[in-house]
Amino acid sequence: MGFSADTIRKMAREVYGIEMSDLRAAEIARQVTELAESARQADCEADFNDELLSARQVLVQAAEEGGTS
Amino acid sequence: MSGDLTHLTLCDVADSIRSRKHSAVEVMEATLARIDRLQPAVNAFIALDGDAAMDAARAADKTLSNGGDVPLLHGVPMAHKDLLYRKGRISTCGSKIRRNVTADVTATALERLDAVGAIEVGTLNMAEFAASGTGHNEHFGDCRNPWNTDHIPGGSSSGSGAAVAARLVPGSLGSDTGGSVRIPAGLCGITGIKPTDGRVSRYGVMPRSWTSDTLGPMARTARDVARMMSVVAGYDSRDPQSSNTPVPDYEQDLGSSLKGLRIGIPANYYNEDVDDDVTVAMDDSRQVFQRLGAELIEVTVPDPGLTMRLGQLILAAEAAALHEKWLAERPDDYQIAIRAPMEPGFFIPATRYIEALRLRGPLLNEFLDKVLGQADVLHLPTGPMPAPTLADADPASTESAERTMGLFPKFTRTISYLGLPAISVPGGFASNGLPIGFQLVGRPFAEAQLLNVAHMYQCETGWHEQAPGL
Repeated sequence: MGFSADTIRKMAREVYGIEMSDLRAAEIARQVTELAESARQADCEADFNDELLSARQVLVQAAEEGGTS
Repeated sequence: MSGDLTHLTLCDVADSIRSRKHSAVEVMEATLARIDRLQPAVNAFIALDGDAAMDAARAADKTLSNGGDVPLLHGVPMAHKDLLYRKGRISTCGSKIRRNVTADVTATALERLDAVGAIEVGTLNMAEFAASGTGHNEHFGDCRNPWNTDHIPGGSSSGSGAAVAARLVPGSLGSDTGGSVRIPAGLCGITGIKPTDGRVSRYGVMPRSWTSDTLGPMARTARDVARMMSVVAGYDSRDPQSSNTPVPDYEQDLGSSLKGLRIGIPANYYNEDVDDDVTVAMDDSRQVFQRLGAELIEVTVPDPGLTMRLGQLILAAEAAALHEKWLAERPDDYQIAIRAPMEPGFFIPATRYIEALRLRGPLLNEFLDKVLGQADVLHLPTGPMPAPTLADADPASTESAERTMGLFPKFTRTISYLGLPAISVPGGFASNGLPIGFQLVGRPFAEAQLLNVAHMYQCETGWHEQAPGL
């Protein structure tokens, strides 16, 4: 599911008070769709419990395991 | 120019003052004279306070004359990216919007440099709100590459890269959210480190993106960077991301043999769309490491394109949240190249933002296993090309702005998303005489190892000793 230029332009005006041309809204719709789809697809492969595993925990744990020499 | 004090490295100038070989006033006079001569060509500074710097240098000499030992960077002139706040001083963040805003706190990193005697001479140019990799700035004038002033210095820590390369100051702090220390370090031929997330406090520093903001030293040599890291690294309760992992003496740890070190060479992504001169420099630097006894191991990096997009998603969403009020009320006070890439952030669904955040842990684990499980450090180009001209990278239109800004962080944002440390090291010159840098990426909190590997490389090569002919 992608974002349409109409949706972007309407949200920009009604939620954020930003005016936007059709062309610019279409370009933003393309970018948002690409970024959001990347996250959605990658997350589909993630484990349900992954939210427990923060990047900070991984960084600290790796350091504690002696990988900082 | 060997007699010119501005050509000393940060460690050499610090040690010459501490040993009373040169006075702090002598060093400061040489520094201010060089800034006076070269600032019109390079435009590295946003503000300069020469009188206060001279007063501080005289005070430093008075302390020296009283006898006894003095701290590590006593009397050393420095200047930093103009997003580190100092109470009572304007921090423009390179923007029109904050041009007259006075800070009400002092950054922890500045407090720590103050405590070891460093003297700030002014504040440095930067991309507006740290949001561009080129160094263009229509509010304060474009910063220029000292190796060829028709070319960009890179950004967003453009003034830090240019000032250190031009020998205006021997060391500087920059910030790095997606490459903003490493890109200008690479394009200006100096050494710059992006520490592990949480290693250096961001308190009192303008936020760009809370998740990936880091602060890192930029100087001419790995030893200089190591000395600065030893000062600024460490826990700070005022930064919620700050880590209490112990801080080693980075400078003392330099000099370990690289025999048996496993250096990962990427088989994918980081060798695509790379300029020929960059490819040659990468091959040459890898041969140097082999001569030093390191082993080169080919590694496949798991989906860097995905980490690039997820990093971009988080950055866009957080930047839009930070700038929402000004983007709505004062859109024309932003350069278009700064405003345009933030706008998509308004429309990222919260679920996708959270997915991008929570994927950092699993993707970091995968990277540690498949890349840094096979190799001790990963060797990458800092960027895909040497510095283009200011005209070629001109962000005059929305389309070209987004294209340009997508290009520079291609090899740096992937690492920022994972929160890992990386250092950019001078690795040669392109056929047009502009510097080329390579990155070394390490395991979490392995800054000491990265600095040692860079230092051993610099003991074997002379790229970091080359100076622009200004």
